[in-house]
Amino acid sequence: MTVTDVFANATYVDVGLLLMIILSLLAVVIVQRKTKQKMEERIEVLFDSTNKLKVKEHELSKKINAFLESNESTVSEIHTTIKSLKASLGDTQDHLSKTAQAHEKHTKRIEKKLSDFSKEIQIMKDYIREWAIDMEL
Amino acid sequence: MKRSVVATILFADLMNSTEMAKNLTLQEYDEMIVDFQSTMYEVVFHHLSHYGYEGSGIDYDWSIVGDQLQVFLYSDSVRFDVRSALLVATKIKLAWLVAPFNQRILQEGRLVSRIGIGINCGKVIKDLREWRVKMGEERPTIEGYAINLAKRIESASREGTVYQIMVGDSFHKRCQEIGTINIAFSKPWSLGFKGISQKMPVYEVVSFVNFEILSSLPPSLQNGVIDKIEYALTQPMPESWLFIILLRHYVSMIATGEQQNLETLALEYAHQALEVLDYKPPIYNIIGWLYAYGQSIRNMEMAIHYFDRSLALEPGNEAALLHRARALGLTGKTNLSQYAYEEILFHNHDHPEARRKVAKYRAVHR
Repeated sequence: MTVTDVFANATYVDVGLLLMIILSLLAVVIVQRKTKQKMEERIEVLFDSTNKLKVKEHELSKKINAFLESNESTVSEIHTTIKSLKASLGDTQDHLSKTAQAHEKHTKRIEKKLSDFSKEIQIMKDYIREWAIDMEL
Repeated sequence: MKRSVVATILFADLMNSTEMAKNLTLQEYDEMIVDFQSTMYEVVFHHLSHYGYEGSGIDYDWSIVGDQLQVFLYSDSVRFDVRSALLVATKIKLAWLVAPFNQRILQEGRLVSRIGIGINCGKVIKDLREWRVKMGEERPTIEGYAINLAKRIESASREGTVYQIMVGDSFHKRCQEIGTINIAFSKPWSLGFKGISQKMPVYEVVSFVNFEILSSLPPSLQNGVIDKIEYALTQPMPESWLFIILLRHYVSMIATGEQQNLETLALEYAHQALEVLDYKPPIYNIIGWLYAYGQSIRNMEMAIHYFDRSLALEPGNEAALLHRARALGLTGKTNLSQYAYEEILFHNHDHPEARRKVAKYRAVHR
């Protein structure tokens, strides 16, 4: 059976249905093309975005590196500062220790003076007691 | 610079040294003089620094020549110098007794060599002479009648029977004025001296109770000194003044509680002292003190008895009056104690303990 036969025997409904199928197919193709285009556009956007992200990531990385570097220097600075603080603390400790020693010496001197004074007082007390005995014999 | 000062002058020399020089070999005599000089140096040098004298030519001057020592004290306080001179005098006598030379003599059972001392007070001229400066000596020259007299008083010391420390009238008066030195003198001897037409009163020290004699001896001489005194007292004809020094030492030891077993020994020595000493009040007072305050021999009745004996010889003896008043109070005889304290006030109106006690007794009786 040829196309002519088909069309000769086909009713209007059949032709209408055929036209509808063809139109539907055409619509599907058009939709597919549009979808593909949109997909491609989206992919491009995504690609751009990704690129931008990559740049951003690079920038961020750079910043992080810079930050890390700066942190390192800060850490180093802190370390140095701590070292110097430690040193100064050591100095302070030395100073404190020296001061404490000096105070200790001073205290000992005062202690000795007090002890000597106490001995003097005792000697004087003994002297007065003995003198009183002298006068009472 | 020439100036007039009141000086206390002390002369000391070895008794019978000329006779000894004749009997000893030259080497023995030299040993004696060397020992004498080093002992005198040690005692006087230590005394002057110990008692805070400032320096030679400032407030004292002293020298040793041969067997003679002379000391001039002229600090601002005559009272201080008087006390110092008495201490120096007694210490040099004691130091010489325990010096190696005399210890050897003692061990051999012979009579020890003694030192005679003369002390006097008076105005002298202190002057730094040009010739001395030229000789490189910065010591002032000290001249005056008081020095001549002191030297002559010293020459009379061999006539003494107790301390053989003789003092002139001015020194005697100073001691009486001071009043805080427990010293007693013999009755005055009226002596004529070469070069002095008038007879002069001279007194011998018969009792000098002072704890500083031993405590201010140079440390090198303090070691074993008590043993040496005790040993010397076991010898025939002991020097009687040693009893007073020894008993005073025992009283100190008992008072400080350093030794408990001395009380009986001290009593024994005190009774020996009564046999050889003519001036007995301080010995009676010491015996009374031992009975009143000794732990092992405490007996207030005996104490009062000995204070009474002291007062029988010397009614105004303040030490005996005071201890008697205390002992009567402790034995509950408050009326007698009050009278005893009132008696002290009769002799010494300002006596603080007597005033306090009398006021207290009177308040109770009201």
